[in-house]
Amino acid sequence: MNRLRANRHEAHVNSAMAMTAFMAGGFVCIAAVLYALHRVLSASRLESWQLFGLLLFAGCALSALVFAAITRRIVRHHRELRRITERLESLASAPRFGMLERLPSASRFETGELTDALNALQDRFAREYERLEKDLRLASQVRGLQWSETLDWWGRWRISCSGERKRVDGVFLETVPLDENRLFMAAGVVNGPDMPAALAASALIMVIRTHGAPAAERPAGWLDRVTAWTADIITSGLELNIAAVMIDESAGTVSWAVRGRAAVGMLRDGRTETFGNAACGAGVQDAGQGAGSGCIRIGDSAGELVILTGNAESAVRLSVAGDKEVRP
Amino acid sequence: MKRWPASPAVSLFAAMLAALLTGSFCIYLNNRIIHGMTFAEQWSFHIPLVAAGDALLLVLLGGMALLRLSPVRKSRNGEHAGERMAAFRRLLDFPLEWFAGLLGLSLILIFLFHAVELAAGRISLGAPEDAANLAMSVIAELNIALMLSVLLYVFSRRLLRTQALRFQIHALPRNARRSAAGMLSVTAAICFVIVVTNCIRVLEPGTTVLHPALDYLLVAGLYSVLATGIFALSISESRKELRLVADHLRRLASGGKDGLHQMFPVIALDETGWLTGAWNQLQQRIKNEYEQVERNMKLAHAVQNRLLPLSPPPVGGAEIASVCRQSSDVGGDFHDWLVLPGNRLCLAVGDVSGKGLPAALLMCAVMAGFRSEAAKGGSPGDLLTRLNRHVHRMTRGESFVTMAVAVLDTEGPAAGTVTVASAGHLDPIHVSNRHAGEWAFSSLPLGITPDAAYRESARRLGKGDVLVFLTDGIVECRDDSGHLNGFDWILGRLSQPVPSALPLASRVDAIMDELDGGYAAEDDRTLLALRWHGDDAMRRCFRLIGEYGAEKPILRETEAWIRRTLPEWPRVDDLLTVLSEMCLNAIEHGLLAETGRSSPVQVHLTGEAIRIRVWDCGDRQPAPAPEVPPADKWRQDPPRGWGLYLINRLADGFGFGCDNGLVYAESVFKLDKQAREEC
Repeated sequence: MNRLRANRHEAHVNSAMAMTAFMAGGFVCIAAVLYALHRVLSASRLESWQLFGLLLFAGCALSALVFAAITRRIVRHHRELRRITERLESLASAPRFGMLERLPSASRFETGELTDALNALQDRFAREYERLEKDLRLASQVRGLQWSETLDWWGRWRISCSGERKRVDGVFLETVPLDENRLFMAAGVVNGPDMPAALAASALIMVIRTHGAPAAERPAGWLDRVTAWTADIITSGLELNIAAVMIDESAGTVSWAVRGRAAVGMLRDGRTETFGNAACGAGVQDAGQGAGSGCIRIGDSAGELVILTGNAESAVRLSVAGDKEVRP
Repeated sequence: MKRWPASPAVSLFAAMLAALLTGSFCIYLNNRIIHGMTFAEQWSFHIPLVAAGDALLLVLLGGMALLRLSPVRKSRNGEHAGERMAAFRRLLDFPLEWFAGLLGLSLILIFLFHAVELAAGRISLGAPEDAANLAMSVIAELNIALMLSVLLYVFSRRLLRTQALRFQIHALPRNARRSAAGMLSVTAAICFVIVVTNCIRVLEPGTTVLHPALDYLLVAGLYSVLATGIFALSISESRKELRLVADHLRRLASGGKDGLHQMFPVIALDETGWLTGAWNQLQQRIKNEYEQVERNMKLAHAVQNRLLPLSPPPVGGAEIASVCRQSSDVGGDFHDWLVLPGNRLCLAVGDVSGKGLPAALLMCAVMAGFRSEAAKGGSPGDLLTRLNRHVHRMTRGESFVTMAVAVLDTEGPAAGTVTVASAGHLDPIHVSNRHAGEWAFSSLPLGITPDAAYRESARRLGKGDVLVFLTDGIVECRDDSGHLNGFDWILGRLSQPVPSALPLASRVDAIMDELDGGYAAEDDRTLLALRWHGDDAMRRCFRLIGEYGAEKPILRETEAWIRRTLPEWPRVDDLLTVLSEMCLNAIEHGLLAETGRSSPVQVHLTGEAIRIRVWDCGDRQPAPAPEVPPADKWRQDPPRGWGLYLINRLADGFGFGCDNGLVYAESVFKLDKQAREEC
């Protein structure tokens, strides 16, 4: 294998030597042409300055030809180097899974040899971290499956979520239609390092499902029960932020409860009403820390219900549009 | 052959001297062949002037090197990053500065030389031919100056490369970037000018030294070789820098993991430097990303471990021991135990398909689901049927979980009856009267179909019977010779006679240690064992982890149990003090305060006494006899060394023993008459 590799290295052409040989050949040609030209022109009746001019012209023309060929090679070589550099810079700012991409083989000269060496190291990295990458890839698939079969529409309400399904992190969303008039939603995020948070969120989703949606009780009571169950799961370094919302169309109300960094906001008639923990700005921009619960009257006008949990980077936003939205 | 290590200053001086001598020789040759001057003619005027010029250049260029490079050495090891970077840039700029310095000084010297020639009347500018001759001479001398400048540039760059490497600068500031292509093109152009002008000059009619053709061959050949050499030197140095980077990359690719993220110092301000900087940037990013992933995996391992139960619950008559060892940081094996209403003990063992983080994600969910569903009540079969629906919803049939659930009645007429339901899990092993046999079940794993229903089966355990649950990692382990252990191996181990007093935890540990002694495990391994001592047995078994504070739950549970069983016994505090000291002793000396280690602890209430045994899994050497500490020992901060003394004073008996190869310490508290009656 090593021998094969060594042969591959030798297969690259030493462009420095090739260019030097080309230049030496050029010099020999120029010297020979000048000498021959001088012999031929000396026999003619040319003035010495004319002879000198002709020789200078011939020398310059020949030199320019050889020089152009060499400079072209030099420029191309350095352009390839710059291209490799740019590619490396783009890889350095790529997402993790794209960082270990191979570089296209540049040429059969030194740059090609350099690209091969870079690719050998990229391959080595890929082998070294193969198990981790495979784990993360499969874990993201598992996380995708764990998400609730989110409804796009429930009655006149459109539901959307900004959380990513297949990310290995602590975001979760559970929507449970209880009957024709009632929809229960639990959304939240376990803040902390991605993987431990994902494990905790995974357990939390199961706790939420096994406890079922609160048919008769208010979200606050349900949330108390669920969070009590998660005491073993949410360990040090992790923080649970959760909001539970029950939309009751027949009563025209939204009951809500929050724990941790979570807020519920209602956007209607160009105004933002925020509930739960402190929220600020024109929309529900940020959520404070604490626990709270309450009930909002929704009415018939169009509006948007936003549930924000966690900080801005790991926020889950649920937008529920009013009856002015036309269901497709 | 060993190379003589020369200091950079000496090397630079030698390079300078060699370049100037080459230039002087070229001037001599030009004068001899092109102008037809004999040595004697040159000795009288040209040679002394050229030598003086060389000496002047040597002094001026040497001074310049000293001035520019001496602060570099001082700042190389400086702590201030800005200063280091400035010194580094000064070092890399120096070859170009030397190039410009030599060229500028040469121009001045050429001008001075010809001025002196004119003043001395050696040449005149009367005729146009004289002026043309002077112009040609100046061009030729300029050529030599350019040639020497390029030579000095290449040599100095090469000599200072080792100095640049020592700076260990890994990123190049954007404003410091240059292009090597320009310098190489200039070098090539200079080479052509040198050859063409000298060829034309030697063809001019004038004095012939040897023969016109031979003279031409000599001059053209010499300048062609010189020009080719200069170009080859320039371009091969540039190539060498690239090769240094490529060799470093290849070494990393074929080396060990430890040095995989080693960076390569920047050694040039041109394309090679840009490339090295970009590579280092990528290297750093890869390192940071995967270090973070590995760190997160370790944190995930801690979260997963916290979900697994630590000490078995205090349920009379049942002794539980378990070990769960993951093949990687996180895994899919799990076990759990809960006490259900009516003092019923619920045990579960499971294995999620797959390994690593994906399996761990599902494992956490299934454990949470098990606890939640078990709290709702129902038989093991009902529990698995309910749990299966949730698991299927979560996996949508794309992965599955094997799981066995057992519920043991510990009180009443059904005491000792164990009800087991299995969801595609390995059959449990029932060990009774030294005979180990499988308890066969046939069912689908959880998550395959949402409608699966699970049936249970019940048996009554006899005194001393052991029920063992395991995951496939145990039977798929390989021995030293690489053979699969298989089911028969574990059946054989469980059938072996063992002393009845040997805690179940020691037995489980011994089996797992034997497994781990073979080939490196490829799968997670879990073994959960339940021994039934009868509803009249009074024994509590714990597992002590090598972490300060791990003794506290043991103390709490023991206190609750003793106060419940012997409410009037007055020596509970003494017993707890002794138990605490024995545990701390084991944590410090036996388990070396490492959380990965653990050892069994047993509190056994017989009709006559309470016996506390703490097994020592450390160096298996008995502890020294307790010494009476000096009277003022308590003044020490913190006071240490009272443990064995206290145990000796408080307990009725204390000693060391060996049980099945494991060393243990035992304290005995004799019960008084009233306590014996209560017991």
